[in-house]
Amino acid sequence: MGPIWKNIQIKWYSIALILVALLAALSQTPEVDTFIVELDPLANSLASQIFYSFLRMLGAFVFALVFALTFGVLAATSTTRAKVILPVVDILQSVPLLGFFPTAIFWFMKLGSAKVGLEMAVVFLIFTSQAWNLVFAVYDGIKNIPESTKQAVESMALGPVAKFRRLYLPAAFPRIVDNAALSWANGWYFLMACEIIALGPLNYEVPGLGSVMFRAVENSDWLTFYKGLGALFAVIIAMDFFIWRPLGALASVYRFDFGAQDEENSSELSEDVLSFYRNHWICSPLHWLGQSVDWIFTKLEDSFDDKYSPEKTHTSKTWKWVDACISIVFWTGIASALVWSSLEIFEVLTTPHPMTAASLLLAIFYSSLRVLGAYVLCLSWILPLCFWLHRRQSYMRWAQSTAQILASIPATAFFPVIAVLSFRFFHTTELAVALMLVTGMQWYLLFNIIGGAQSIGSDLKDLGKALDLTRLQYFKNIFLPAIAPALVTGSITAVGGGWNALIIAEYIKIGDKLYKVFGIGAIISESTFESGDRNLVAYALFFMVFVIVTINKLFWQPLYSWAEKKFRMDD
Amino acid sequence: MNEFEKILSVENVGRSFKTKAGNFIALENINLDFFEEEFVAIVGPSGCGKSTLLKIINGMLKPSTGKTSFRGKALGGINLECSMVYQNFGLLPWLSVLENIELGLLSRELSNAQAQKKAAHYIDKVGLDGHEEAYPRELSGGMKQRVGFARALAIEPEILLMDEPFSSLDPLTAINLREEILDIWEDPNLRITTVIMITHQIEEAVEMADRVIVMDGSPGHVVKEVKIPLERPRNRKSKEFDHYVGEIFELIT
Repeated sequence: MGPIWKNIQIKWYSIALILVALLAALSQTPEVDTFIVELDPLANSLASQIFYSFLRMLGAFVFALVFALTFGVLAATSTTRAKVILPVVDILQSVPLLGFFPTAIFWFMKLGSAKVGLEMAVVFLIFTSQAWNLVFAVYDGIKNIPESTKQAVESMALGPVAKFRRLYLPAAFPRIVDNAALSWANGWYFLMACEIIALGPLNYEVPGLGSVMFRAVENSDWLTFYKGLGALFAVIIAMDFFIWRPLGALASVYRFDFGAQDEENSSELSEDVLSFYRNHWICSPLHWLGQSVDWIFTKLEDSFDDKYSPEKTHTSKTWKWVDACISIVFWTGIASALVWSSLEIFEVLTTPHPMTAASLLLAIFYSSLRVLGAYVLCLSWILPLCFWLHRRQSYMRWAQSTAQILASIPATAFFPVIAVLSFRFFHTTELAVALMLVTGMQWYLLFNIIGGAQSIGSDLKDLGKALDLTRLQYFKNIFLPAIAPALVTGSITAVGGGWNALIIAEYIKIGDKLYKVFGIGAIISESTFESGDRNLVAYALFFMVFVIVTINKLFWQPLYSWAEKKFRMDD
Repeated sequence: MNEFEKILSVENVGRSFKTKAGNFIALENINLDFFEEEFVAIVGPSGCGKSTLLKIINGMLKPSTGKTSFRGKALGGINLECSMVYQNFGLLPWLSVLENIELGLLSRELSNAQAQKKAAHYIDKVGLDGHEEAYPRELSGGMKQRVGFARALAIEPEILLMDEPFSSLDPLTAINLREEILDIWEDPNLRITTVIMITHQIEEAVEMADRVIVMDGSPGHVVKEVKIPLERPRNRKSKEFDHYVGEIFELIT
C-alpha cells in the first residue's frame, strides 16, 4: 500500500470530491413494493446452494480480473492515465461500498426483471470487493519490470497483443496470484453480506450459502447452521489447496528475482507443489484454463499484430489513431460522468432538505464512535497476544496458521448469530454491533502486527536482554516502535473493514425482529428499505464517504508516511 | 575508415524530455556516422545521454529534432537491422534459454521450426549448448549474458548495439566474453558488420574499438572522436595503448 501512495503526488482532494459527488449522485432507492417474496422452503440441497454462491463469486472474479487487467495496463502504460486511475481506485477501495447495494439493485433492476437485477447487483457488489487491489497488483507488476527487460522486449518490435501476452501478463501474474486469494476472501464477505441484506430488509430470496445460514439462525436450526459453516469452510480450504497453492508455486517462476536463492527450503517446497500441479489430475482444470487462454491469445496475435509495423512507429497513422480513440473514450467517459453527476447532485440539492438530514451529523458521530470502540477492543487483545507470541517464537508459526484458517471464514457469516445471541443473553444490540465490527476488523490488525513483529531482528531482541529491560520497557522502547508502520497499515485496513461491517451491523432484520441502533449505516438502510427517501440516502452516502475519505487523507496517510519514515528497519 | 560504406547516420539529433522541473535536454546537436566493418565505442560520464542515443539509433525513441537514417533511408520506427545487448541482460525469468531467444524472433516472419532452428544454432555459437531448457535464474551472470548475445545474434542483424555489456560480469568472465565478441564481429559468416558499444571503462573501449566517441553531459553532446588504429589483439600493457587511454581520460575529466 505504501509505495503506491508515494507515487500519487496529485491533487487528490479534488478527485476525491468529484468521486464522492458521483457516487452520491448514483444513489437511488429500489421500490420496495415491487419485490416479490419468494420464500422457498429449503428444499434445495446444501450442495446446490454452495454452487449458487460459488458461481456468483466466480462471475464477479472474472469481471474483476478483466477490469483490473484493463485499467492496470492503461495506468501502467501512461503517466497521464495513471494520474486519474490510481487515485480513483485508491478512494474506491477505502469507501464502504456495501452501502451502495440498494443503489446497485435499483440500477440493475432497470436492466431486467427483479430477480435478474438482484442477482446482477449481488455480483456487482462482490466485484467491488475484489477489483481494486487487483488493479494495483497489475499496475505494480508492470511497473516493476526491470528497465533492461522492458527495453529488450521493446526493441523486439512485438505487436500490442504479443506485448501484453508475453510481457505484461506474465510480469503481473505473481502479484495477481498474491492478491487473488485476498480478493476471494473479500468476495465471500460481501457475498454473505448481500445475501443477508437481500433476505433481511429486502425480504427477497437469493439462493446461496449465506441465505441458508441466515435462515438457519432465524429458525434456531443450529444443525443446518453448522453444516453450512462446515461447507463454507470446506470450499475455502479446498480452493486454497487446489487453486491458490499450485498457482502460488507457479507464480514463483514468474518473479523477477534473479538473485541467489536465499531460502532453500521454500524453493524445494514450491518444487513439490509445482510437480503436484503438473502431474495430478485434480489440477487439470487449471491446465485446461491456461491452454484456452493461450489459444485465444494466439488467435488475437494472428489477427491484430500482423497489422502492426514496428518500422513505422514514429509516423504510423493507424496506431496513433487507435491510441487517440482509447484516449477519447477514456476522457469522454470521465467528462460525461462528471456532467451527469453534477446534474444529479443539483437535483438532490434543490429539492427541500429532508428533516432527518439534520441528524446525519450526530449519526456519523455515533457510528465513528462504534468503529473507534471496536478498534480499541481489537487492539486490546491483539497487541498483548502479538507481544506474547513475539517472545515465544515456537508458538508463532502455529498461531499464524491457525489464524489464517480462522480468518478465511467471512465474518459476515456470523453476523446473524451474533445479533441473535447477544440480544438473547445481554438484551443489547449495541454489544452485538461492537462484536460484529470486531470480527470484521480483527484479522487485518492481527496479520499486520504479526508481520511487523516478525521483522524485528534478533539483534534488537538481544539488545533488550543486554540492557536488561523489563517487559514493559521492552514493549515501549523496542516492540512498539518496531511494529509502528505495520500497526498503521493494519489500522487503516481494519478501520476500512469496520465501516463496511457497520453498514450491515447497524441494521439487521431477522424474521420479524429488527436489530437496529442509531447511526449512519442504519439511516442508509432505513431510508432505503422503509421510507424509500432517495434524497436522504444521497445525503447520507455523500456525507459518510466524504468523512471517511477526509479522515483517510488527512489523518491515516500522513500518519503512515510519518511512521514509515521514522521507524523503518532497513537503512 | 571511409573506404567502407556508410551504414548509419545521425544528423543534428536532439532529444528532450518533459519533467516536473521543466524541459530536460538529454541530447543536443549530435552528428555521427557509422560505417560497415566498424567497431565503435561510446564513452562518457553517467547521465550524458549515451543510452538515450543508443535508443534513438535503434529507433525505439523518436528524436525531438534531427533524424537518423539507415543506409540512406530515414528511420521511421524500430530498426529491424539492429539488436541490443544490455548490462542487466534483460531476460524474461519465466522463459527458458531457448524460449528467450525465440521471443526475439517472434516479429520476424519465421515459422516455429525455423525460429527454433535458428535459436539452437546461436545457442551453440555462444557456447550454451546443453542449457537450452534452463531458466535464467539457474544461470551465472556470464551465462545469462551469453543468452543475451545469442538472442541478439539470432535476429541476424547488421548492427549490434551493446549497453555496457560487460559491466555486471566478474572480470575473468568479462575478459573471455570480450574476446568472443570480437571473434563474432570478425566472423565472415555472420551478417553483423557494425558494433556500437556503450561503456564506462576507457580501457575496454580502447581494447575493442576502432573508434571511440567521447561524450559529455548537460546537455549531452559529442566532445571528440578518437581513432584507435592499433592492430588486434591489442596489448593493454603497451605504450600506445596507454597513450590512447590517457588521451580519452583527459577528454572526459
